[in-house]
Amino acid sequence: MERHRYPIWVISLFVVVSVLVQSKLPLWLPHTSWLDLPLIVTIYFGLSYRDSIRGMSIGAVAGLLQDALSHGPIGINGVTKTLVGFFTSSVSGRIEVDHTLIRMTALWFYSVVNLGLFAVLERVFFASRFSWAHYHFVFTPLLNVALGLPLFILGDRLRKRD
Amino acid sequence: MNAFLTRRKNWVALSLTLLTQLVLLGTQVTDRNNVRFLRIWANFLIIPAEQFTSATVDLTSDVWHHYIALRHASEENRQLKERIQALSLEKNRLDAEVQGSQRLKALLDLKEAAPWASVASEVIGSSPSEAFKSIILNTGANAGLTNNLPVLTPEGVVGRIVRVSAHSSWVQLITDSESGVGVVFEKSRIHGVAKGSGGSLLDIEYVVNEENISVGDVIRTSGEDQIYPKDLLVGTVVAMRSGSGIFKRITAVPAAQLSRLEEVLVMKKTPRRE
Repeated sequence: MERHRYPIWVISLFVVVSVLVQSKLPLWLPHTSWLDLPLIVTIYFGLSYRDSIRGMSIGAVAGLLQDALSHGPIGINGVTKTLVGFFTSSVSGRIEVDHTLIRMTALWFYSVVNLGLFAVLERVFFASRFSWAHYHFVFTPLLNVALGLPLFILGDRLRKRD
Repeated sequence: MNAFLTRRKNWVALSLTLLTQLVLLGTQVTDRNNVRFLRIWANFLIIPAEQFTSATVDLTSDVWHHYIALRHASEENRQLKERIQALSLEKNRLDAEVQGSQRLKALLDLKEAAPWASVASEVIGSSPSEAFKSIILNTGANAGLTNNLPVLTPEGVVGRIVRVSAHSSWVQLITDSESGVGVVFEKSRIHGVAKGSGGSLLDIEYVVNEENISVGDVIRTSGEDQIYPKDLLVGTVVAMRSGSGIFKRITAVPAAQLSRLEEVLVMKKTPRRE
């Protein structure tokens, strides 16, 4: 299986921009808060790199930056995206993940996983103080899939050429 | 170890990254009681260890102290036993002193009541021969004692002095087989002679069968023997039957506790100086 490589600036740009956009977009489009752009970036680089440590690291940085811009505690998104990045890259090392359908499935699945992990952490740390709507588990993965596929294509164009 | 870390580097890295972030979360988030999670986790991790350590220390301390306590208990037990023995001895000594004081008081009362001068003496020995019933006193000629002086206790007549040295004297007990005391029955005023049986009793002789004597009758000195003053308590009749001859066979028990003599009074037969 082919292992893709990206310039560091591409990775950094994707991570930072995703976090910044995720923090600004809901100001203009309220329902976009259901999106999780840093998660899409994490899944994408996890699937592309096929290296657990890299995938995990990108996820951790993306999550921590996301937390840094939120009013919540730093680390809760870091933990979920660390796990997502790790398992995404682990799985991508075993199967071919460049196919669109697989990418869609991966986006949906890891979005659900991310929400699940977040819910667990939220329950552990905040004792369900936050109001959770079940439709998050429906719409967020779908939105992530919908926005993730074009971003994946954009990312593919920025790969390093050997 | 290095091989394990290399083989599992991904998982190790994941664990470290997650742990770092969880710790980071723990430092920020608090529970309903406003206690940070990091502190809760730390307590969760450390408290069982602390409890285990505490329990181990307590157990060790408990065992140790019980062991020490047992050792101390053994030592304490030994000391207490010694203390009990010492106290028992002390109690016996005090009891003896009380009894001695009571005896001496009674002796003093007797001395003051007696018309004659008297010498209080301590019994320092007794006859080593069973055939001779006698005691040894710690006073003798130096105290003015002579032969045939009567020896008394508050309970009754003891005997008479039969030998005197400078600092001691020998007293023939009234139960000695060679002893004879002129007596009179207190109630009937019948006269007789109390002779030693050689044992612990007295044989009252020369009382004719016709006399009315009863068990329990009290016998006192008659003064006829020129040794014992009149009306001193001698003993009590304990057995009586008519003899084959003309005299009754009367047995009496001495009033004085002859087997437990400690202090006695020797009467000097001279008028007491006030």
